[in-house]
Amino acid sequence: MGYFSALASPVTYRRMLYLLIGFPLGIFSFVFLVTATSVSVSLIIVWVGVPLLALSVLAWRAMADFDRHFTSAMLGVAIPRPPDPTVGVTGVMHKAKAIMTDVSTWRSFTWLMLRFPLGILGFVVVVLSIAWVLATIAFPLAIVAGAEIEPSSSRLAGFWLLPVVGILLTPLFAHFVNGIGVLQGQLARSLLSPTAAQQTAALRRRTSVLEERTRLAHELHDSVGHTLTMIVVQAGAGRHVYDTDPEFGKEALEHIETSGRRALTELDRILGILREEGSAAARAPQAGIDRIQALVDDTARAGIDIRLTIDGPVRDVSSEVGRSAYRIVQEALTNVVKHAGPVPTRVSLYCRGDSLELEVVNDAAATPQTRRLGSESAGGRGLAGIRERVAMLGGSVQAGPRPEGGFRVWARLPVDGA
Amino acid sequence: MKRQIKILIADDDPLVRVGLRAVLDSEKDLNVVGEAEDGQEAIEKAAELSPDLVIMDIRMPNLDGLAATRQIACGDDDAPRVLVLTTFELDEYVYEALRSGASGFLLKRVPPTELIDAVRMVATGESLVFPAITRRLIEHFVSKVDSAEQQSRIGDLTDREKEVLRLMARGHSNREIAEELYVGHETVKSHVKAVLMKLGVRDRTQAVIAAYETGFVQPGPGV
Repeated sequence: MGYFSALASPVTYRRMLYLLIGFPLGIFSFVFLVTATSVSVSLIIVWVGVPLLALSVLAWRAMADFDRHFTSAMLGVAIPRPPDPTVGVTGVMHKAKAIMTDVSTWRSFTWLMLRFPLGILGFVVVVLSIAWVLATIAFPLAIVAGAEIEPSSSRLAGFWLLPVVGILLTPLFAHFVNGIGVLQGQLARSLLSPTAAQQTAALRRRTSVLEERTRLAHELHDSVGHTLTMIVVQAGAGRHVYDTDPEFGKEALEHIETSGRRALTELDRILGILREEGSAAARAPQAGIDRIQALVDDTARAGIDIRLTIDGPVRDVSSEVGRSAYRIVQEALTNVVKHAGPVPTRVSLYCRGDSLELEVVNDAAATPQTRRLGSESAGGRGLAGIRERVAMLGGSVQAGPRPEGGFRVWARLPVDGA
Repeated sequence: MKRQIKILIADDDPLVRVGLRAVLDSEKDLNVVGEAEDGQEAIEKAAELSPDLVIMDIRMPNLDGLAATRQIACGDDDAPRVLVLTTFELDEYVYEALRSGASGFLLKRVPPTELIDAVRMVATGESLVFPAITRRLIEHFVSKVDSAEQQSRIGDLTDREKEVLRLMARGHSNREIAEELYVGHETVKSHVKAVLMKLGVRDRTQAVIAAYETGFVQPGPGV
């Protein structure tokens, strides 16, 4: 920006306006925060303090929201909104806790308190600048109008040059105001934007939702698609040979009935998961090592005799490794439910040194049904997905039928895998 | 009566095997000589029974259909032709199977009459199996291979043969090519034979893949 062009730029005047409005806003924020918090905290002994405090917190979060829009619009600084901490949280108490522990709540508080000194600073700078500019330019007029001027200043050699100096120096003030405006904008952005950790968490949640959706799509494709194909093959064959081999036609109808029933059960199960997720909106249960227990409980509810063994500091693994461990166990258990049926199953997690080992084993005798587990999984998408995931983390995986019957999935992941 | 076409069915699902067998056995010129549950068994039975055609599922335990296709279809001209079975049409594995030497692919859900037609078509080599879908599959997954050898082989074709290859790639059968070029059916047959020989491929599908891979034919409508 050229020296004089700052005066012609609308940005300068928007910043000036922002700094001027910052004064009353700052006073309002300060007074509100101090009053609201002190009143509600002091009334906490009587119950009214609690809802008052909750209302104050909500109010200052709303004020921070307003400031995000206001600052973005006036200063042209993009300030993204931090993620809502209450998404997917149910129950008033849990919501309150989520808000009070949300880092954005307290960053907003800091910004609103800072608004007071910042508002005074901005206001003083802008008003003084305008006053100085007007004073220098208008000085001769004052003399002409016969104002009482101190004799010493009227004898100044550069008396009539003062307006010229004033005009020359005016852009300097404009630049000064601009600088303060920019600094305030940056401060607002750094306090009101989501933190790096919040951004990462949001991204992770989104990835988790997508992963789960893809997994269900694949499952639908694999299981229901497969069964429907079977039905079509049988129906086609039955119709084709119906006249010459009615006995086959009858058998085909029987197969169609059984397969159709199986497809419906599968569909019920998968749609059930989808519905559950839909009702929890974007909650997307964060897949992680902590949730493996829940996974095992769900499987037990499906009528499977299942045991979980955990050994070592498994909670110390990186979240990425934890998420992968969860997905691997999930895939293995899905296969057990789908193919092996209600057979005794063991899930083990061992964390030793720098690696996490996990194993899912079922004890099904080698019935024809469990043979299919081997076939489906060996080439299916699920295990291919597991292999990709493990390879990405630099781990190793083994999956296959056990000589004594049943199926085993084993994986080792480096604890600090990226 | 014409010679019977001997067929081997390889699929790990007994219901699919039973269904396919029922349909194929109902035709006088088709004869299902055996069934296999996995890729390994398919290779063994193919050697033992020397069928004309193997209908091969891709996902099977022990040894999958891709590996088995590679082993079975890489033999000489007398090696059985392979028809790959698939549940879904735009499947990368199916394209892989075609590249591995399969002569065509078959959707498991096709009506019985189309299944029978497909089997006959592969056995005679007169046309691509399901030309439209096959073309779409190849166009979707083909990646250009910069092979000077392949290019020079295409260069060896006469103008007439190039025209025939172009029409083959568009999915035309021999009969349709004959009509398009105003020549006899037998003439087309000998042109096709010359094309296969000069390109060093064993069937029509492989010739069409070569045409796409060398860029001789571009994906898109028409030629």
